[in-house]
Amino acid sequence: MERRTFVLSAGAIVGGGGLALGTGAFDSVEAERDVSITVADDADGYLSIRPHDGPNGAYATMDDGELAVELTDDNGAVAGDGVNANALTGVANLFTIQNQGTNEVELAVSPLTFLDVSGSIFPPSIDGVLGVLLVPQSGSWSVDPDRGVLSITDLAPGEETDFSLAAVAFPESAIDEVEIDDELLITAEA
Amino acid sequence: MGALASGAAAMVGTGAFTSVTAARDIDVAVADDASAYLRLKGTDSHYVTDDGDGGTLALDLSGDNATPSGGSGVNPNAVTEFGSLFEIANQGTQPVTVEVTKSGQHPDAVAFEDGNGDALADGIELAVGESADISLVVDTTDNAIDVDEQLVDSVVFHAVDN
Repeated sequence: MERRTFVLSAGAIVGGGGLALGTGAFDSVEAERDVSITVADDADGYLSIRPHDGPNGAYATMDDGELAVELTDDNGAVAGDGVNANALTGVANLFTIQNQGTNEVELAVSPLTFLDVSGSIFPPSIDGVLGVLLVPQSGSWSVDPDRGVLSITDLAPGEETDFSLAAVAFPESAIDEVEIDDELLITAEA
Repeated sequence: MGALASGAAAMVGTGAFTSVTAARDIDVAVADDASAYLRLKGTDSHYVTDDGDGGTLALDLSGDNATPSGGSGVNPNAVTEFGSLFEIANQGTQPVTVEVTKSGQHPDAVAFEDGNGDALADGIELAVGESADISLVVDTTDNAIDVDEQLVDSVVFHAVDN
C-alpha cells in the first residue's frame, strides 16, 4: 500500500508542470540540444587542401591537420634541405585543393609570388634573391586585378586543381641568406 | 531530441558552405649544393675549389689554381683523366635524369663520366637517394685546340624527372 501512494503523488506533480507550460508563463528554460560540428583535418575538410598523391606531395607537410609547403630542412620526408642556388627549381604537382562541398565555388589563392631579397638596390649589392611562384596545373585560372589574387572560378563539387611551384635563387651567396617564410591565403566562396 | 540530432547530421552531410578562408604556411629555403635537392658535392681534390659545402660546386683546372708542384693545366695533344671529382645525388622525391651542358671554346674536349663510364652529356638516371661518382676526361688531341686556350668556362646541370 505504501508503494501505491507514492505513484499517485508523482502523477500530480507531472500534471502541475503541464499546466505551467500551457500558459507560456515561465521565467527561464534551459534545454540542452545536440549540435554536432566536427573539425576535420585539411584533407577531409569541405575545402580539401592536401599534399598531392604523387611523389612531390612530400614537399608538403600536414602538421596538426594543416597543410604547409615545406622546402626546408624541417621537412624530414625529403633528403634535400632546400633549393639549389644559381638554379631554377620546378616542383610539379605539389599540393591539391578540392571542393568537397555541394556548391560550385570560386577559389582564390593569394599571393602568387613570394620574394626575398637581401642586399641593397643603391648602390647595387645583392647578397641573395629568392623568388617563388605558385602555378595551378589545371582548371581555368586567371589573375583578378582588383583583388590581386589568383582566381579559379566555377570549381564544381568534387573538382580539384593541383598546384606546382617554381623557385629561382641567385647568386651563390643566397645560400642560407634568403628564405621564404610566409603564408598562403586560400579562400573558397560559393 | 531525436529530430534535432538527425537535422544536425543532415547539415553535415550536405557540406553546403558559402565561404572558407584558410591561411597556410609556405617555407622555402636556399641550401648549399651539398644539401640541396640536387646534391653536387666535390671530393677532397686539389681541382675542386668549392666542394659545395656552404657554397656551389666549382672546379678549377687552370693556372689560377696551379698545383703546389707547378702544374697549371692539362697537356696539349693528350687525354687526361681525373677520377672522382664530385658526386651528384638525387635528394628530391622523383627519379631524375641528370645531364650536363658545357659552354666555352672547346666544350667537346671535356667529358664528365659516371663510375660506369657513361657520359653525363647523354644523361644519367638517378633514383631517389641514388648518387653518381663523376670523373672528368679532357681530350686535347683535336688540332684546333691551342696551348693556353680555355676549354670550358661553365657547365649547367639539368635534372629532370623521367
